[in-house]
Amino acid sequence: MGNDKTEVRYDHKAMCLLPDRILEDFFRRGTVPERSAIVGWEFDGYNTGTLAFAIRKFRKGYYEEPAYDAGEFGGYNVNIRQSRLDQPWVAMMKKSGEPQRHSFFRVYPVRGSETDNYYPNALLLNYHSPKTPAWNPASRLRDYLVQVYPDNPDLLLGKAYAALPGGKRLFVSFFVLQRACKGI
Amino acid sequence: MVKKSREVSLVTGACGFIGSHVVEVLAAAGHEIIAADIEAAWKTDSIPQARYPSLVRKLASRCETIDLARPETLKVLPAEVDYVFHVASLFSYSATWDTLYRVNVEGTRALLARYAGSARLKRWFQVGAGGVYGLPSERQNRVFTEDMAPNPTNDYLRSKWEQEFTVMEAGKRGEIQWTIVRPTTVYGPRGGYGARKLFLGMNGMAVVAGPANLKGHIPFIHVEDLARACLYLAQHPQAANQVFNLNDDTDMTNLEYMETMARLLHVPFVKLPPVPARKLVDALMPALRFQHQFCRDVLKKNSPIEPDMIAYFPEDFRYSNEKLKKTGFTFRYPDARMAFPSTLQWYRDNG
Repeated sequence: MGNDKTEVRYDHKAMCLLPDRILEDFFRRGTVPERSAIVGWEFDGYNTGTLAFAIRKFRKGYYEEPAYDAGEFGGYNVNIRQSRLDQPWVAMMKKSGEPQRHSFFRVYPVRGSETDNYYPNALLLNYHSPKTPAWNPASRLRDYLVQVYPDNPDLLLGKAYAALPGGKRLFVSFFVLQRACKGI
Repeated sequence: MVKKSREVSLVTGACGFIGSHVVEVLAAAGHEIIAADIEAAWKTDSIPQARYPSLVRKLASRCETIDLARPETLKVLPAEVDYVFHVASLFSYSATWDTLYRVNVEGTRALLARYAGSARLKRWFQVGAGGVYGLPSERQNRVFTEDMAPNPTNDYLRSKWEQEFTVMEAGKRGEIQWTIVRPTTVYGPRGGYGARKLFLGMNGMAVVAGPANLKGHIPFIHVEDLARACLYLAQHPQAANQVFNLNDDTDMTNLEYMETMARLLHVPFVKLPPVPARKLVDALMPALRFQHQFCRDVLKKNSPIEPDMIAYFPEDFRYSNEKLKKTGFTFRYPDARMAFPSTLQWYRDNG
C-alpha cells in the first residue's frame, strides 16, 4: 500500500466487494443524483452488509408519482433471484408476467428539518409512504442515496437504516446500484 | 526505411504463472522471445502446477529446456540477448535449503556467468520476493520500504535474498545492469500454489468465519501488472541497479479478505469474537513444524499445512509502492477487488 494512492475507478462488482469503512468514505464524498438521471430507470442493487445476506440482490426503480408532494418522486423494489455476484440479475415474476414490484418509497433530497438528515449530499428513500402499509417491515427503512463519481450517473451508492422507536436509526447495510434497464 | 531489429528477451521460468504473463507482455511489445524452462514444464499444460507450455510456444521464437540446478544445460541459451527476465525459481516452503540454494542461488550465478560482461545485455531483470523483509512484527510493524535491510524468516526467502545479493554483486563488478522487483501476493489467471490457495481455499465452505481482530493487511499485485512492470522497469533508465517493491494500492485486512471471498462465493460471513491469533500461532508452531518435517522427510511429500504460511496470518503486511510510482508506472488493477471476480471466474472455468 502506498501513501499516495491512485484514484481508483471501481466498477459495480468491485464496489460490491468494498468494506464498510471504504464505502463510508465514498458515501461522504458522493453527490446528490440528478432526478432526471434516475427517474424512468431501474438499477441492479447489491446489499453488502452481513445482516442483509438473505437479500443480497434486488432491483430498484424510480418513477414520477403525481400523488406525492412537490419535489418528491417515487421508487419501488423488484424481487431478484438470489445468485452469485458474477451471475446476472434475474427478476422474479408474478403469474401475470409482471415483475414482482414491492416496497414503494418516496424520494426527495435530504431535508435538514427531518430526523433522517445524516447526509445532506444524498437523496432520501423514505419507505414511510402511502404505498407501503405501516404493517410492512419495509416501511421502517430509510435509505440514503448518492452518486459515487460526478461523471458517472450509472453507479450509485446507498446506505440503509431502519427507523426504530424514539427517532433512533439502526444501520442495516450499504448497497451498490448500477443502471440496468428502463422502468415504469 | 531501415527496419528496426526486434529486441531479444530471454525469459526463464517462461511456462509458469508469472513467466507466461511476462512472455505475453513481451510478445505484445514486439520482443523476440527466448523462452526457457525445465523439461517437465514443457510437457503438458497443467493448471494445478501452473504450467502453460502451449501458450508460450505460440509466442516465443525459441523454446529451450534448461535446469538451473544443472549449469551445463544453460549452454543451449543464446550468448547474446538484450534483456534477461530471470523469473525461474524454486518457490516452495517445503524444499530443503540445499535444493533451494542449488536452484535459486547457484542456478542464478551460473546464468549470470553466461551473460556477465555481454555488451548487448541492456538489463538483467530479477523477480525476487516481497517476503524478504521478514515478519512485520519483528520490525516494529513498519511499512516495508526498499531501503530496509532484508530479514528473511525461512529457507525459501533466504534463498531469494541470496539470489538478489548474487545479482547485485554482479552489478558491483560491472558485469550487468540490473533491476530487482519484490512482488507481494501475486494473484490473477493461471495462478498455482499460493495464488490458487488464495482463491480456492474457501471454495465449498457453507459459511466463512473469521475472528474480528484479524486486522493485519494483505498486500496484492495482479500478475498482469507484475508482467507490465517487468518490461516497464527493464526499459526505464532510472530503474537501473534499483530494487522495487511490487504491490498495488489495495487496502484490505485479512478479515476483509475473508468477507470479500464470502461475497464472491455467495455464502454468509460470520465475524467471530477476537482470538489471540499471535499466541495461538506461536503455540501451534512446534506441532506444525513437526508435521511439516515429517511429511517432507519421512513421507516424502509436501505437508498439507505449511507453517511459514500460517505464520503470516497474525501479521500486518504493509509495503510502500512510492518508489515504483515515482517512475511513472500506473497499475491496471490498483485495487485487487477490481480483478477478484474475473480471477475467481478463471478458476471456475478452468477447474
